[in-house]
Amino acid sequence: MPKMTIDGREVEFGPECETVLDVARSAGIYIPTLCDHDELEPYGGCRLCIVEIEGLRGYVPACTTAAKDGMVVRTATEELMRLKKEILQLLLIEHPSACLVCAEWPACLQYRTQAYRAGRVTGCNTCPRRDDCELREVVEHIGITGLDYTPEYRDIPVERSDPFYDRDYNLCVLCARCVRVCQEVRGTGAITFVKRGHETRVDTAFGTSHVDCGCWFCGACIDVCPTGALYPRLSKWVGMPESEEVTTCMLCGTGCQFRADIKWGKVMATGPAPPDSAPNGRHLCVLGRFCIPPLVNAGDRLRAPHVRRDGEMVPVSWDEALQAVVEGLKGVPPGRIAVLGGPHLTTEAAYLLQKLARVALGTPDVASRGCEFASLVYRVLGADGALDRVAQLEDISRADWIVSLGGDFVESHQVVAKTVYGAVRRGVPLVHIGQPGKNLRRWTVEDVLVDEPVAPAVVRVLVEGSGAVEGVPEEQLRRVIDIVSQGRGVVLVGPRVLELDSPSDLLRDVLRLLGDDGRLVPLFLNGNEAGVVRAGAVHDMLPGPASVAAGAASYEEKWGRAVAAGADLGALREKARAGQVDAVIVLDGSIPVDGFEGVPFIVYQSPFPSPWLEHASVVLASAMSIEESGTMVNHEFREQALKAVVPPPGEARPDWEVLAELARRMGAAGFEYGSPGEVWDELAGLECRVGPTDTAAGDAWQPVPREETEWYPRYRGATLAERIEDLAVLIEALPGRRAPPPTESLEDMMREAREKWAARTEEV
Amino acid sequence: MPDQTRAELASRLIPMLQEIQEELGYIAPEAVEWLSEHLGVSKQEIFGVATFYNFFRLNPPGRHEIHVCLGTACHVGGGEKLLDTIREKLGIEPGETTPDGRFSLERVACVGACALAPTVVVDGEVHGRMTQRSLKRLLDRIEREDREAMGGK
Repeated sequence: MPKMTIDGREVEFGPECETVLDVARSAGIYIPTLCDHDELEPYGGCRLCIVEIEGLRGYVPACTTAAKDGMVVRTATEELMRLKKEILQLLLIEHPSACLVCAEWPACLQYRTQAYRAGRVTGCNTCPRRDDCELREVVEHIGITGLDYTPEYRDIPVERSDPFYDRDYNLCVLCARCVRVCQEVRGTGAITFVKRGHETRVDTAFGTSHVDCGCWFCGACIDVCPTGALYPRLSKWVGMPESEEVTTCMLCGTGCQFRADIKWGKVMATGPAPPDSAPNGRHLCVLGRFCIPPLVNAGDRLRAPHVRRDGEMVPVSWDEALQAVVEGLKGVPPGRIAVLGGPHLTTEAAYLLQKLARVALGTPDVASRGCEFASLVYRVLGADGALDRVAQLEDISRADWIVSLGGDFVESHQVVAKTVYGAVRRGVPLVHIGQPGKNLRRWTVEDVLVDEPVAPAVVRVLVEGSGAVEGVPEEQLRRVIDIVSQGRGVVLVGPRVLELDSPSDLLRDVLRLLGDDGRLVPLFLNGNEAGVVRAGAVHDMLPGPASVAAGAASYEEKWGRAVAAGADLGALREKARAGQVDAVIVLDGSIPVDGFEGVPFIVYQSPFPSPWLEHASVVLASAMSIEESGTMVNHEFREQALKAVVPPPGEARPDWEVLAELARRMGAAGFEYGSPGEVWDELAGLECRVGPTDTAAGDAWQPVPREETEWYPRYRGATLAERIEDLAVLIEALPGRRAPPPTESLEDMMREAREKWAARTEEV
Repeated sequence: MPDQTRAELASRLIPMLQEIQEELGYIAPEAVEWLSEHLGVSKQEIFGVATFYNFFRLNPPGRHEIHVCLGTACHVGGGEKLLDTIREKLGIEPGETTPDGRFSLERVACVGACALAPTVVVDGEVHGRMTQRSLKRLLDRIEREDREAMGGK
């Protein structure tokens, strides 16, 4: 093993240590840096990590100097420390530093417990990072107690008009971490260093807003910033959290781990989980980074159970409410009850919901919104015994080629996109079949520009290795065939395949294209789609999931009740419209009421109000995923733990608890659960049983309309863009990012620019 | 451009910027957008490169190009004052063009006429020993000539 001497200590190092800085860190020797970050390539910008190495002239940055066997390194000689002090002081000339060099600081910290809410940061208590400042750590380590130079405030206007976060570049130390994470890791390139030398600043092209420059508001820049220059507006003045908990985000199918910052019993902010969290590491998207607190802390959350009395909703105790449900359902024939769930239930709640329907109520009519994709994947892959072909995100990193279809995944699945970009950056070819947006177009080597209905024909040609598709150049197809014929592939299948007449055929072709080594990434749009299907809370699947044909017999034996396939959501709606439904239990307020208005007895159980409230006879206030424990199954089929990190508001209770108690009150046996863990134990051992014969039945497929395959997050009655104005701003900007690639030549473009300028000067 | 890798494409950025500036006289926003699409690089990355090099300009050159020398001799001789005069008179900063497209302003390091310091170069012609007053007169004269050329309006 190679070794080097650092500050007189002999340190052995392995191949994972590429630079002198890596070696020092592995040995626990602290070398101050501002620009270095373990996810980013070495940069050598801040010069604070300079070290002395015997045999090398001058002082070299530890972060960009390759580690070699036998090096003798000194990190803190007197001369080095003098230099570092000087460098850091120069840097502090332009950084408001009242907080960094003030002798009163320790006392101040003790007595002023709250950051001042100020229009502009001048240092001290007006900085949002006053409690956890990386720059301060470096200043303290290097030991600066006063400034030898006159500070110079840059007086750059603070940027407050963009969604989600403020940007005060007066605090910026130009470490370039934000620029680099945006370009190197996320592949967005929304910001850059503009100009150079003394005039350098972080900005967008031509100073446009972040909405216009292509920013996805993933927040990666904020998480790497060593100062208070970038800060989420919502939590800017909240200060340090009282506790931090890691749990799973349910706002899309990726199921990212995130850190919830808790203060005053509420989640005040969210941020990245520890680096080794699967599947997302430290990366989130706009939903997980910014949208959870406004959703959880919304003022209109349902806080108590209600019962309709003489046309008025009256708050009642849980006892009364549940009794009202039992009364209301009494005497309703099983064939006239519908039970409706959705993709944002925990797997345990979904399991109990279908058990309540099939066992306690005896109705086969249990259906869920937004779970068509997971259902399709289980059906097609399960029948082939190919569930293990579903990719883990690491598989993307190991792929030799990547094909994506079914919509632009950069828009809908930012964390998956980040993983794909990592591969693209290493030179893995990415081919998109469909209409990619501007950002995705920069990553692809081939854009097969076809509309969604044509995608299956393209895939078929790739599988067969020959053939033609109208509108696609033959040469391009040949090039793509070359790409996909070598090595191990990954195919990302987006939700837009649900718009097709026969997506199962497409999925089967994709599996053939992938061969035995390749992996499929089904990009589920809605939270716990996979978990809800696995729990059997859909009309044609039993827990496992097992198709009704394959699983009915065993469940009949287990439950002692007849088990049959039910009607799907559309069919139930028609049934209700025709007056053939007497009672509905609905747990997802995002299901349109349309058709169900006339149902005489509606039970609405949700954390959020929705149009169902107007028609409901009983309202049961339930907890959100961040307030209850349970399990979420993501699009890798990975089981992600949900943790109750804050209490539900008012008297709201977790869904599993409500459903189990309801079933018990109706006299059903087998609902004695003490915790969601017990429900999971019952469900976890169930096998996926989808017989090959079922697939033919599964082809009685209803294409999903475009508005349901689009990225437009909803959560049980809450439409996020309607509640979070900043998110609406981003969503409104999306059509502009989908503009088709320009076809004009360089000459055309220049002529146009000339004419435009001529017209403008003419006007003046 | 399927035969080229991303790195190869990106390495063409500076030559392409040069080509565009040669043809168009400056780097227009349309050009940044066009390059972003064709080279697979974000607009910001292109803008960063274009603003890093002094050579690239982001405003179209005016019909009259003014270069104010701030080399050592001109700096000592009051070049900065001359720059202020133009700023005040035309309302533009170095690197900018008047909205009517008539004048553009640049600062240069040395035009090699130190004996005549301070100097201002207008449309390639060196004007030496300039004062704020003579500079104003020069600009007035150009405006007058322009008006006459346009038919005395």
